[in-house]
Amino acid sequence: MNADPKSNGSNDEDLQWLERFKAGNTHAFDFIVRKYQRCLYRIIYNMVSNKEDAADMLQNVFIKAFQSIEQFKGESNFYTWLYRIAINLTLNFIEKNKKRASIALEPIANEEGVAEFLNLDKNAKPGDRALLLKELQEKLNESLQNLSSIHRTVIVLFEIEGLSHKEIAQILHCTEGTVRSRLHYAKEQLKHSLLPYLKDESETI
Amino acid sequence: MNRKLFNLSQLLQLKRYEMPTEAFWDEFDTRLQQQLASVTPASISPIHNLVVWMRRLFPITAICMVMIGMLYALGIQHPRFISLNQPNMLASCFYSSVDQVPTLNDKGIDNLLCSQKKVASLTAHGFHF
Repeated sequence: MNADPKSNGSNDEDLQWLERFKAGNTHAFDFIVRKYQRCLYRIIYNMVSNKEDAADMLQNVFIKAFQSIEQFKGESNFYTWLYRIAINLTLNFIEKNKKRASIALEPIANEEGVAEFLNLDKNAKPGDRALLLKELQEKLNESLQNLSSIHRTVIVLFEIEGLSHKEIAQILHCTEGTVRSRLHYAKEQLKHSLLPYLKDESETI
Repeated sequence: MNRKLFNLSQLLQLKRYEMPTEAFWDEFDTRLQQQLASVTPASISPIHNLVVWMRRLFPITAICMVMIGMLYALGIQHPRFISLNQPNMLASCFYSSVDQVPTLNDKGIDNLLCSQKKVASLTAHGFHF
């Protein structure tokens, strides 16, 4: 089950489950965990680039949310509050573990789907395709890790999670202008480091 | 061999496909359940509520201004912020500086008065300035 934070009904549903949880139904929290665990994992994983660390961090995020649920007053969407916890814990983790950062990547699930999505040569041998995907994954990961943590956060939330500028601004407690500016800078950095893999967009005008 | 080229957004979408297996999620759920069983939601203390309520009601800047105002009203001031409506403190400040640099002490004032007398005397004898 994947969360779709953009749907209005999603927040109402979250609030209903929260009410049940506050009324003493601790199993109501399971619903929240199952709804958000995959997208939160993706955010954390793409920021730390280590699957073991991401799993531990995700657990900490849910424990933190569980402990401080009373502090959520419903003034913002629930997912904004939850994402904020995840981002803050992850940024703290990155800051504390700057020197011992290690990379452990997840395998690409559904290679066939990815090949179709990237419009890769259908006649290519599966081994060659897997190699290309591995190369892309590693290069992409390296480029993301070269960004500062705050620029990486914005790229992950916008490009990978598909959140809007406004939503990101709410999560990061900054203006939409700041989000746009960070996004622009991060994209320029990524374009520079991924140059051999990118189309020349000026030619397609 | 021609390399296949992509646009940046398309390439970044590749990251969406890096996900753990279902077995990972089963294990994760079990582990989290165990962890949550030993944790209780923190209740909010009345003091915390009061602080939150105060912060909503008054922004921090306003609180600081009120505190400075109260200190001023109580007469507790830093020497750097001596105001002009307190002449005794201003005077003490002036005299202490005179002690260090004797430029306009009693002797200086005498000289000034003496000069004024000389000007008056010269004016009386027909000099105009």
